[in-house]
Amino acid sequence: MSLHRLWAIIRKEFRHIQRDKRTLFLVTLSPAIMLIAFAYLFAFEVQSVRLGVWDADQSALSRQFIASLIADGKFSLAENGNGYESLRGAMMRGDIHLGVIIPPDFEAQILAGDGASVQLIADGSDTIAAAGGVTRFRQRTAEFARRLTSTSSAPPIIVQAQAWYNRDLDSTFAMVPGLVPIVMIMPSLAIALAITRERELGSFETLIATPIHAFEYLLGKLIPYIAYGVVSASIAYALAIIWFRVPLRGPVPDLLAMTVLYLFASLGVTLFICGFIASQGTAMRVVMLLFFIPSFFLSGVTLPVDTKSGPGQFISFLLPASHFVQITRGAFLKAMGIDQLAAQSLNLFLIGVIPFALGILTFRKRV
Amino acid sequence: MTGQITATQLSKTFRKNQAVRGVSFDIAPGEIYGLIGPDGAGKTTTIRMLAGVMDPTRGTARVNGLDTTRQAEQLRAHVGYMAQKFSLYGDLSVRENIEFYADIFGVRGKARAERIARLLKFARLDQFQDRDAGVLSGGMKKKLGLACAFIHRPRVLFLDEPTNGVDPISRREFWDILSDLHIEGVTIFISTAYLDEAERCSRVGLMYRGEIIREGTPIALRQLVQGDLLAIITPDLQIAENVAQKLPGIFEVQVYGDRLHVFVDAGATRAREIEIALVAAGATIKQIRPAAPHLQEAFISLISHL
Amino acid sequence: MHKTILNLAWKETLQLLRDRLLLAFMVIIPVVQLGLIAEATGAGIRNIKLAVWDQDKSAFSRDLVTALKNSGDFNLMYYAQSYDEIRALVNDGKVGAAVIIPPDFSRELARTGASATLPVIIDGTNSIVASSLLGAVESAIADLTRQFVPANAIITPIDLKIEFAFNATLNIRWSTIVTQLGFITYQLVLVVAAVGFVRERELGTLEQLAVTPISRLELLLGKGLMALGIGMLNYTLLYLAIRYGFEIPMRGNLALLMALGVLFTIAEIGVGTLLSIVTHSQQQAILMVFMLAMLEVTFSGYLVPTENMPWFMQTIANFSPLQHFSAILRAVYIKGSSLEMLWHHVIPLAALTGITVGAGWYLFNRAEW
Repeated sequence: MSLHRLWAIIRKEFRHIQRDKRTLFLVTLSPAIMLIAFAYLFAFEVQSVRLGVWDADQSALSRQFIASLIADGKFSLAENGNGYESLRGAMMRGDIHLGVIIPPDFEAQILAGDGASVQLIADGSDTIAAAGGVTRFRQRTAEFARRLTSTSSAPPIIVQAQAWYNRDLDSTFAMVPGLVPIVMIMPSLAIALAITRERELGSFETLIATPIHAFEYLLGKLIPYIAYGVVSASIAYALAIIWFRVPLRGPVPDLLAMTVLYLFASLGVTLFICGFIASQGTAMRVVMLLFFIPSFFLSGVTLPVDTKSGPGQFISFLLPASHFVQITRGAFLKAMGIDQLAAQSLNLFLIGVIPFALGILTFRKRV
Repeated sequence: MTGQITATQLSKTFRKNQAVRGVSFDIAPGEIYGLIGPDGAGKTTTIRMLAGVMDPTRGTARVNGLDTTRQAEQLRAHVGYMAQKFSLYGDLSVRENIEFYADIFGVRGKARAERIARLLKFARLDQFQDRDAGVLSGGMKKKLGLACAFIHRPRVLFLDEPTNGVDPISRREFWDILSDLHIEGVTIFISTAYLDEAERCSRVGLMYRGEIIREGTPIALRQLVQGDLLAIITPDLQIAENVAQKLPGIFEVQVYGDRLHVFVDAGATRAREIEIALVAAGATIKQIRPAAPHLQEAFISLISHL
Repeated sequence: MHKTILNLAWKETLQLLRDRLLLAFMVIIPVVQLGLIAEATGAGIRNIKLAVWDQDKSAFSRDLVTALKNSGDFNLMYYAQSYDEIRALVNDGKVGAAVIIPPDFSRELARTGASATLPVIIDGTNSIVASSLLGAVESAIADLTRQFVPANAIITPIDLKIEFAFNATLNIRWSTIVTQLGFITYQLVLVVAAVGFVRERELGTLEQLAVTPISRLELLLGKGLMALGIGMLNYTLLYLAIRYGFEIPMRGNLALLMALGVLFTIAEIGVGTLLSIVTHSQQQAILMVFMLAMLEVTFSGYLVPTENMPWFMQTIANFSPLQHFSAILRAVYIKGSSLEMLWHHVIPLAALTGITVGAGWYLFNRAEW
């Protein structure tokens, strides 16, 4: 192991990154740009769930009920049906998400004090939207019912929800830190390109005829990308704090230290895999297939991952993003430092160090 | 075997394809050994095995007394290797490329600056040292490659077709540099498809289909040519070639620019026969004379008689 | 001409098959991914844990805890003994929500006409999970109220009867997995098509093809046919895995599902070919695929329903073949919608197919070899 040789590789890689505008963009600005695109999507909660109504009552009260539902624009009336089948048909066309059936005796029943029964049909083919729509509809109905009856008959149990760390359940607060791990796939892509380009162009063959050690070579590749990764993550964090006004409650040095661990893990895995890949095209496809969809769906950033099931456990250990999502959310919203996120940090370290060690062991200085 | 480069029955098989079939070398210090042969003869595989970047399937090789498989890492400090597909870092400057290899080979301190300056001058690249390697001409790239491979002053240089695709003037310049290295006592093992380059080697091995079919000094190899060589200068090359091929006592007919080279069993008698036949076929003959065979002809003649 | 095209497609396929590692990644990884996503996220919020701190310790509070436990929405429960414990549980992410039953809860409730307040703490770090959890807690409490407080004689004026159409148990796996059928096919086809020409140009083999009698049309069709073959093979395999492996009932017409799959694949081949023509290296092409894929998945309406997007994002989403196809897949597969019901997605998809293929063909004709 020679620091001299390690430094030679590091300096060379830095030069490659700095001089190739595309790579430079990839490892500095592109994560921030993608973060903006994503964050805006989650930031806007212009909820307008399309509603289909079959009003069999056609009474003053039923019209009042419908009007109260769509009053604030979160539900929009997309279909006036005249039967169960017509609502179902509208749902099959995708015109409506929710269908409401108001019975013929709606007004009469309520005025008689017996309570009316309203049927709500939700489109179960889109479970997230269906669950959200039903929750909102339930709240709206409850409000309407409260207004109908006197104040004294408030519901017996009032659920007083307090959302911790994110008082208003602001999706920007939740999603922006959570999306950082996904947009930080870019440095992995860049290192995959760097390592396979050297093989494809042939300079690798010259390099293996030198006294370079696998450790120096791999670490020398890794360090510059970690450095630039920290830069791009910092840009993304700054964007989150300044632009999206997400509070960073945890200590900054701890967050940056854990960012280094995440980069070490994701880059270490990529470096190891790319050791077996000869062409840039294949390397990029492999990185994409390995990290892209899993990071989106299996990291817990959007859907909750069942850590009790076998596959869930497997993935939550192996996928660097699943640990880092907990870290970014913990650091931003929960004011956590590295001491409280020690388990996640250790996992990231292991995910990085094992393939890195394997990469050194399987590194063959032969063509 | 006491040579600087020795190999015994070196073989390499890729799946079913036997690329190198038991070649042996014994190369003395200070020699320029040329490995010549057509594409696909196994030259690159042989050099890779000798330089310790590819393990042989069978056989062993030693360079500087070190086994190229088991002691490959110790060997690195003593050999320079320029791969056929040698590629510089195009986005680094000439100087940065050399500096990179200097650092990798652990050349440091005062020696580093001195040696880099000397090599740049040596490779006639000193005016271009700040230019990106990617924009250099083919010949300059090769010279820079050589400078990078020689930065640690190895005793042995392995060069795999270093002048491939380079213009004749640059090729000559490259060889002038090699001659300088040769004078300094460096052992050079070079492969080439250009047979004129082999004339500048101290010893040449002819490689064909994975085997060394002949080995010797360029002069000795030239003498292996069977029969005599006749050069016929004629404007009617096509007719002349067709006619000459069908005559008795002819081994080989090759077209070189404006002339025809014909190998015959006996120059004096066949020259007369050819002339008569060509004139009868309506070809104009400007000149017909005996010529001294080059390695080129020697090689082609050797291969065609296998 | 047909023979040339088939020959080309065959050559392309052979090249792809030679790269065994890549092949494995294309055939095995998608199915593994599908399985993992199904297994790991299939339970939705059901595996999210809930903590309860029962300070009341009355018969009613115990009923409340039992009701929450039996609701089926939360799998495991922590019984906390203090506020600090709850704080620690939520902080460590061990529970997604905590219900605090105050000491005088049942007494408060017993007073006629009064309402008892039930504090619920929700971890707001994942807003998607938090909203679902809150909804689930509220509905469990609402059910409980109906069951346990009839004595209060409060008749809820409006009684909601909820039916989840097409997916009665609101099994999250159904929509997740069926959507993946589109996503995985999408990324595969796009990646295969996008490197098609640019790779040959980079390697210089395109120049060689230029001097052969192969026409541009034949070349384009040959490459396209290969990508279509790979895409549909993948699509079919995934369909079989979803239908018989994950046993999600297919309600629609299989021929329609396949035909629209072909249409979508062609649209993506068009997009890929376009990228392949306008880029100069494989690296650039893949980078663009990467960025595009990230955006299209975001706009696909899966994570955030398209209707919930601001209008300019909805406009953008209308130009995404993936968005239309995701909607089509869910409609045909889960809802059993027919073609007549889906014109508003099929026509834009067909139009996008026409545009991308046409633009690809136009640019390819003008491009240097």
